Amino acid sequence: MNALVAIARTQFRRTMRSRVFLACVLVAIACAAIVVEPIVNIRTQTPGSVAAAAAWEVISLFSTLGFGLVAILGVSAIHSETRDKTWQALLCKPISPWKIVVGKFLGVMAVMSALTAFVWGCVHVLVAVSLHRYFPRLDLALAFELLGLTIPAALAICLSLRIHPIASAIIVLLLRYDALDALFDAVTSSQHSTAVLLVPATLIGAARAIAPPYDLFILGDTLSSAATILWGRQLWITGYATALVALVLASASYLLRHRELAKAV
Amino acid sequence: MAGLSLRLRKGEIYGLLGPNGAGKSTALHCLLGLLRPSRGTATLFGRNVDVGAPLFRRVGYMPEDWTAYDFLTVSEMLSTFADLQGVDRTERRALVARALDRSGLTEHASRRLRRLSKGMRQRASLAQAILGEPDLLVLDEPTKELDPLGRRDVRVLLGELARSGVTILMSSHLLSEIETVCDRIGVMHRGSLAAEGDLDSILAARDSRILRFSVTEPARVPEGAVRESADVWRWRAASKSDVHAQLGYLAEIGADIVSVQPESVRLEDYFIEVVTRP
Repeated sequence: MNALVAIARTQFRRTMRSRVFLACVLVAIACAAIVVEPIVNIRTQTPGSVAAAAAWEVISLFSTLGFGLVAILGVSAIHSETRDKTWQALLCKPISPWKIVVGKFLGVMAVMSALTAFVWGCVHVLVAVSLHRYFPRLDLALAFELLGLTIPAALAICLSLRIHPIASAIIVLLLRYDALDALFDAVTSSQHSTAVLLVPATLIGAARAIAPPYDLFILGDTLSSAATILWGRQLWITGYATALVALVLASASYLLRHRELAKAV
Repeated sequence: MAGLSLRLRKGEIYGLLGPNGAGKSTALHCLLGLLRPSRGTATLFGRNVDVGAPLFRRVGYMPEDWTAYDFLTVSEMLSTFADLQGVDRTERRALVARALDRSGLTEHASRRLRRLSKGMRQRASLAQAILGEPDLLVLDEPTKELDPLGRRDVRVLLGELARSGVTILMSSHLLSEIETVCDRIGVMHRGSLAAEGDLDSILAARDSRILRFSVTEPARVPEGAVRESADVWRWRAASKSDVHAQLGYLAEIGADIVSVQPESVRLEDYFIEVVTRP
C-alpha cells in the first residue's frame, strides 16, 4: 500500500509541476472569458437561463481542455519515467508493474480531481442564486466528466508501455471523443431522472473509454438510435443493453491488453 | 549477447568492462529482469528473475545517467524509494539518514535534486541504490560524473559494503577505478565474455622483466632501451631467457645495473590486448 501511495504521490507532484499542465491551466483561465457571453445577454434572458448557460459553458470548456490534457498526462506518466530512466529503478523494486500502473493512474486522477473540484466550485458559484434544483444533475455531469477523463488516462498509461507516445495520445483522443459524447448525451439530453441515468450512463462512459475496439460501439449506438426512432425517445432499457454489450467487449479487450502488458514488462 | 555466463561470489566487487556497444548494460538489464533473454536464464540468489519479485528487496540498482525525480528533495526521493522498497515506516527514517550519511549528502538532504550538481545527483542515485541495505548492488557507471574527491568517497564506501558482505557488480569505462576497487573483472567484447579473472592475478607479473641501468657511454645504449631519467635507462626483456642475454650485453658495455623487476601490467594494457584480439 505504501508503494502505491508513493507512486501516486510522486505522479501527482510531477504532473502538477509539468509545463504542459501549467500551460493548460493558463489557457483555461484565458478561455474563461467564454462564460462572459451568456452574462452579456442577461438583458434578453432570465437570470436563471443565463446562469445555466454559463455553467454549461464552464463544463464544456473543462471537457475540451481535459480532452487533450488527460491524453498527454496519461501518456507522459510512463513516457517521462522512461525518459528520465527512473523506470529502470522502479522496475527493480519489489512491486508489481500493475501497482505502478494503478499508482500512476491514481496520481493522474488526483490531478484531474483537483481540476474538477475547481470547475465544480465555479459552476456552483454561477448557479448558486437561482438554480438550486439543477445541483444534483450538475454534480452528476461533473462526476461523469471526472470518470470520462481519468479512465482514458489509465488506458494511456497502459498503452504507453508498448506504443509510441504520439500514437497512444491519438488513440486515447479517439476514445475520449466517444466517451464524452456518450456521457453528455446521457446527462444533458435525457428526460429521465438522475437515479435512472446513473448506472447506464456510468457503464457506457466507462466501458467506451477503456475499450480499444472503437468501431464496435457504433453497433451499440445504432441499436440505441433505432430504439429512439421506433419508440420516439431513448428508453433506459436500451441504455442498459448497450452498457452490457460495451462492458463485455471492454472486459475482453482489457484482458487481451493485460496479456500484452505482461509480455511487454 | 551470446554465451555470456557470469557467476558472482558473495562479498566480492566484480567489474564488468568492455568497449562501447559490447553489451555491458544489456547484460545488467538481463540480470535485473529489465530485458528478457531470448535464450538462457538470469538468476539472482538462485531464483529466476521476474519484474516486481520479492527478491528485489535484496537488490540495489543504480542506473547510468539517472536524472531521478528532480522536483523532490533528496530526502523525499529517498523516502519514496524506501516505500517502493517495502521498508517499514518505522525503519524508514533511520535508513534514509544512514543512506544520506554514507553517500555524503546529509547536508544536502533538504535540497531539491534539480538544484544539485551532476556529481551530487550521482551520489543521490547511489544513495537510493544502497537504501534498503541490499545484498547485491548493481552499479552502472557509478563514478562517471564524480570529481576525484567523490570518486575516493565512493571507493571507500564500496570497500566498506563489500567487507560487510554485500556483493557488488559494477560496469565502468574508468579502468583506473576498476583497478582500484574490484576483486574480479570480466571483459565483454562483441556480446560475450572475452576474458575473466581475479584482478590481482591479471595484473601480476608476467614473463617480461624491466631492466634499469646506467651507462657512461650513451652511444653504446642498446636499441629499444628508453631513457627514464638523466642517468637511468629502461630496457624491456620479453621473456626470462632474454633477461640473461640482455644482462650479458649490459655487462659487456660496462653498464651499472640499477634494478631487474618483473613488468606489471596496467589494466588498460590488458583491456586493449583483449578487445583487439583477432
